Amino acid sequence: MTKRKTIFYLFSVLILAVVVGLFCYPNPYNNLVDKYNLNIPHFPETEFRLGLDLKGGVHLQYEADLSQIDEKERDNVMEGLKDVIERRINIFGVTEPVIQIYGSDRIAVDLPGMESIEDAIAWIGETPLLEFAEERTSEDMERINQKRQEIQGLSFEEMQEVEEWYVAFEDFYQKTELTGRYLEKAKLSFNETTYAPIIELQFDSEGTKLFEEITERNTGKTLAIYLDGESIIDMGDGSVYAPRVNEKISGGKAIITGQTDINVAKLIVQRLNQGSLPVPLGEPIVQKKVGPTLGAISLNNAVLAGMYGLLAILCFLIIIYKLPGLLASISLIIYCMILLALIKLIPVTLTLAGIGGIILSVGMAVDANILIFSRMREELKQSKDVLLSVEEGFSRAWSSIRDGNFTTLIVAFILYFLGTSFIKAFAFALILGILISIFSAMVISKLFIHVAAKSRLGKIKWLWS
Amino acid sequence: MVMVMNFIKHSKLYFIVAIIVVGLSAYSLFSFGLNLGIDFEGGSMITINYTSERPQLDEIRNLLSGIEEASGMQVQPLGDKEILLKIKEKDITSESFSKIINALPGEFDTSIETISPVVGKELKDKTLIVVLAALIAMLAYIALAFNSVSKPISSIQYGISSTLMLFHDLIIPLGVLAFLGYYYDIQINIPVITALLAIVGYSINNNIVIFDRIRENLKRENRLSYSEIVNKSLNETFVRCLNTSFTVLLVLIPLYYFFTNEESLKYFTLVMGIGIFVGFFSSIFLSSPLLVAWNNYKNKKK
Repeated sequence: MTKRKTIFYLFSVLILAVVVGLFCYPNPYNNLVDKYNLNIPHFPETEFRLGLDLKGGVHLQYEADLSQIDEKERDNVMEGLKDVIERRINIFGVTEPVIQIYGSDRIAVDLPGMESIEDAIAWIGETPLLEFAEERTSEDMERINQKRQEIQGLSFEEMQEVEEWYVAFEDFYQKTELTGRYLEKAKLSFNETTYAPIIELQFDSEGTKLFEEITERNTGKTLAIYLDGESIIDMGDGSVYAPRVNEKISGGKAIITGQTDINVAKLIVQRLNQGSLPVPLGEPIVQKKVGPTLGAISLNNAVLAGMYGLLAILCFLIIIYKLPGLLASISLIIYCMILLALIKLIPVTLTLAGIGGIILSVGMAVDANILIFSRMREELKQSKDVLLSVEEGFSRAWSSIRDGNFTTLIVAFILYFLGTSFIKAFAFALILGILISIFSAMVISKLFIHVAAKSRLGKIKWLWS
Repeated sequence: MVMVMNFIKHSKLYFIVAIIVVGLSAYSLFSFGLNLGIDFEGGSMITINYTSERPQLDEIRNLLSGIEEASGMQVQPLGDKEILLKIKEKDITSESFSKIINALPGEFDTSIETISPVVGKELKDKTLIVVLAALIAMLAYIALAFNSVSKPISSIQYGISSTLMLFHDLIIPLGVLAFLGYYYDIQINIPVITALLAIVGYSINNNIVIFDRIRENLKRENRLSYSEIVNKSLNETFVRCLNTSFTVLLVLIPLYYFFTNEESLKYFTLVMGIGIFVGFFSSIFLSSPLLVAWNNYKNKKK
């Protein structure tokens, strides 16, 4: 390497270290920027995404009873179920819930910050409520519109001064007796010539009668469809999904046309069916709750354990391997920062298992350094000069580092693809750690040690043996 | 300072020690059986973390004995602020949980875990498949990586030796777990399984480093006998194996210390510790000397 190239590489590593460092811990930098009113952008202050076991919350797993469902429909039903649960949870305002379908009939729900399993089960288990609503009379609508104009631009406090201000927040629709209970099923079909999606509704005998009455009195008007008190799909402008009634419909069969987006039409059908045909969920097959203080204790302990472990390793490296140990320690710290920054950026949800994997991967990263240094020493004993020993150390240790890390990677990949969520988290952290550790040992450590061996330090033999 | 140790000289003694320890572990494993936790058997566990002073265990046992839902529950202390209520092979409904928790005195935060036996059974089967798949993949890699080495013993023998070492490195912690499970009710949960897999990883890793050195020395040194080459390789890699095992222990100590109140990770570190120790022993004193013994036996027969 020429001198200029070396300086360039060192500079790159320095920049990398600073950038990943700022990703891990942006506060001091941002505070400085604020303090001196500097005209440079802030670093994003993203938090680590913590798993339930570290921040507390409820985890539930359900097995849906699909025995009554046609084989072909099952995936759809599961998607529908997931959608219902998602909507219910959003209504109750849980932040960052995670809902996943796994296997053919299982569904897992993570509710961070939730404190009561009972409440969570009650929310999820309830049958979704599908409602059909008709337009209010034109006087009513006029009144609502007027109030809406009156309060436009007012702050919340000012608004409350207006007489009957709450009228502005009323819907243009009022509920009818027709609910999902009377809907037998909904399905998607297509216009034979235009291939435009058509939503078909089939009501039961009671529903047929109700629907006939409603369509009779609302011919030419619109009929809104609500699920759990909200528009069945988000129209994007705050309005409610409401197809127009063209004529009185008897016989219990209705079709809705005009929805051009197939995916939206599919979603509407799915949601119509949830209101009428929820799959029985029963008691969850797995229930977990981690209390918030217990989660915080675990997190604190994991951080402390990681820090002390790292510190012990750094001391050990420096005592045993002197200068190369010191340089490897620096690259190990950079390794940890890269790992943490990636965990933030990807983002990986940190769990106790994941932290176990990370700590184990630190062990692997150290192993690569130890292999190289042991080799370097041997070469040095044969009274080669320092630079040559460094070269030999790295090239000869490579085959064991490669084979060792490769076998661990194989295991980690198998764990990742076959394992349960706990094992997956562990495996993912391990894979990430191994890949970065190879980079840190074979690129960063190597660079540092090369530079040191070439410099005046390279002449002082005791630093190296 | 050049210290040369003879790792081969007493290998008979090491073999005997290993056989005795493995025998004892196997005995423990088969007579006590493994005490599987609720992850695999299904069941319920409540961790109660007291923010006020923890009441006496007997007081809690008394209170719980009056509640039907809590029948069959074990009450264990954990750390100095926590209590663990456990029941196996039975999943408890959320209503029963609240009944139990409401009956307890003092101020506390709880963590709850309930797994139905069906899920546990599935996990048991799945874990077995994962572990077997991982083992096979690793052995296949070794056989491939050492394909070029054939004299004086074949690459398959390297593979067999490392398989035996794996067996050794796994059965000892399993034996200890069976013993602890029987006498102290320490249960095997998923973290313990990951620890066992990590042990497998380290064990293979150690063997690879040593075999790699043997492979290299076989190419370079023509004058030495196989036994001498193995001993030379062990001398050269001994410090590395010692240092690596030691650094892993360095990480495990704080993990164990900080997670004395976290059952899952506590036994993870315990099992890892045992595994690292026996893994170090087997890779230095057993795996390569076994190859030498094998080679000698072959030569004698000729």
